[in-house]
Amino acid sequence: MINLVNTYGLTLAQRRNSLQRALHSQPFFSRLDFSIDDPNVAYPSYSSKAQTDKDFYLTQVINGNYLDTPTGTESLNLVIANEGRNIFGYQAADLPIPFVSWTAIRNFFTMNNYCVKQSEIIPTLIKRNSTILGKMKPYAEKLEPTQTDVNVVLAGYYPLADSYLTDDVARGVNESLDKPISFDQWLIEVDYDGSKSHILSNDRYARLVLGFGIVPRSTFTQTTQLNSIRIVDTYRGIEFNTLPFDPQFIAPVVSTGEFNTARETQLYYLPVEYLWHPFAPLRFDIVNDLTNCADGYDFVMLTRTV
Amino acid sequence: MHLVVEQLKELIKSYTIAQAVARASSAKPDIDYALGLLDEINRIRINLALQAEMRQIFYSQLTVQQAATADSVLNQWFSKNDKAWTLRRGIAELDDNARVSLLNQGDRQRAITRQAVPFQQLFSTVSIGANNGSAIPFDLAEPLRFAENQTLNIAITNQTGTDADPAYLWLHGAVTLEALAGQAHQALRDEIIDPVSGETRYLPETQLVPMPFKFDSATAGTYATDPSGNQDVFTVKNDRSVLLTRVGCTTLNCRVDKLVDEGRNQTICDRVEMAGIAPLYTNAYSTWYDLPYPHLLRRGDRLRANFMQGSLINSGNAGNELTHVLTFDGITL
Repeated sequence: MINLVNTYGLTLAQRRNSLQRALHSQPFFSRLDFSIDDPNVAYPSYSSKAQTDKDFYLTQVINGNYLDTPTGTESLNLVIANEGRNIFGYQAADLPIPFVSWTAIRNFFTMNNYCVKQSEIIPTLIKRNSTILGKMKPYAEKLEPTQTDVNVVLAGYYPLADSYLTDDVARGVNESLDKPISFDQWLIEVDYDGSKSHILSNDRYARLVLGFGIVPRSTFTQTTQLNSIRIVDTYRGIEFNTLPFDPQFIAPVVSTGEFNTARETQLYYLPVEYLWHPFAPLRFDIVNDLTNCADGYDFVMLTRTV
Repeated sequence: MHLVVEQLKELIKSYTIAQAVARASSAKPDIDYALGLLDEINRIRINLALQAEMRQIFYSQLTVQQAATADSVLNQWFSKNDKAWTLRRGIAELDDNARVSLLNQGDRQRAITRQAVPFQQLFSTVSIGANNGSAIPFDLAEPLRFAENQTLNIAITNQTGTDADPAYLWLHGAVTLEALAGQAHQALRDEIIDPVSGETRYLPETQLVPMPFKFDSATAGTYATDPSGNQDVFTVKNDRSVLLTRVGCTTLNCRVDKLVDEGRNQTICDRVEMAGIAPLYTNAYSTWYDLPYPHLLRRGDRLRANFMQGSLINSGNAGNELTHVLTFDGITL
């Protein structure tokens, strides 16, 4: 993941390479919803689809499990409908969800859950105007689905032909490159009920947004859903996601010590670095419900100067 | 090598973006930059494939009987006889307090551990049975290399059967070939790059290679069948070579009687507990175990496996009449 190529000791050439990548791309997250109305119906199949209006490179398939104890009966197939091509190339079997995706959201009160380690696949091209069809069904005969609400988020990036490199941006970039790298954490406090838009404004240095993390201020209730988040760069008009989804898909919840989440990281990393222009505002539209976490949580963003 | 695969993913990200920029601008510097990245990607692909060709991975299971007293030393020996081999890691099902020391018994004896250490510092533990060490396999601090006719001696103390009786060790490693066939390098290169035009044929893709199997009976020792009813379970042939890097399974209550790469005539494992090879897919720590080294499943070749019902380290059995899947994760070359 991008943490491999965004370390402290980067040379100037490496910094220019990652800048080149960030100038011409943006991360993007696409949500698929699967609702299982009647788990007693034998061997049913549930579908959801997403459409891409630009060439999209898929790098992560992320699932959210809200149940107490997943039985692992569901498989997930992702097909590019226009091409009739299965993204993972497997034909011989329907494969359980953990083999094709990693789990961002897990129940905190049992260890019988899917693996929570963030992982990526080789970037897979999904051409513009393609439809990604997601199909969920039991992976074996005589198994019936037990989950009633499953979210899958597809993470990846769009290449951008236009770099938006204005004189001001170039000045900010050069000022950053003149100095050693510095990493910064940015904080959003989510301690309210309802929806709110938060603005994080950059200073005069160009930065790369690397990832996000969440630290709860009190115990999460079981099967906590943190409602939704949507991220927009209002300066460039770039959305990180069109459909809002639970913040836990892009930021791991780190324990306050009250229970063991078995997390192996405090951050989830973006598919690609996002170039945050000097003085540009990043808007976070967050909907929260304090029923799920009585004192709210802190949402943290990690950046580094270019 | 697994880190190299991750670095390859980052390079491919950079290349796909650079390629889009070069197509839009048609400017020579942009084109040259994209081609430079592509050259680096292809160089890494070929190196990965060559390294995989030079190795034949194996999984071996050693049974450790309990000792009469805690001070008794149980000795296990492992060798690949006339072949040079490397031990990458081990998984153990031993008593909590068992201690292990390792010795290379070759022409010149070499102590690998200065004294017996808790086994948990050398080996991880299985995800069923006595769960008393790291649940995520970790490699030895350095791969242990053995020349032909050199033997690994594993001395175990404090193994009285309190937590694990009998106990087991699983060794993950690879035999090192002396040389590649003369045309192997060119053949691998031609698979990636058209020898006439010099163009790259395709970029790597993530590839899952499943082996579905089913037990018709809960009786231990029963062989599984594939969806067609055959006891030999095969992977689907692929028109591209696949570099397998990880493995996972939907049941641990069975044994892999045999796992063979038919194209290379290579036995990867012989009568090994599934828990010594792969984690359970619902494992909270890891859906996958890394292979000892990436294994190259050449295009047109397939893996063949036979699975036996029942586990020696767990009293349960794999659900009968349910389809299970042993799945390999990898990338096309």
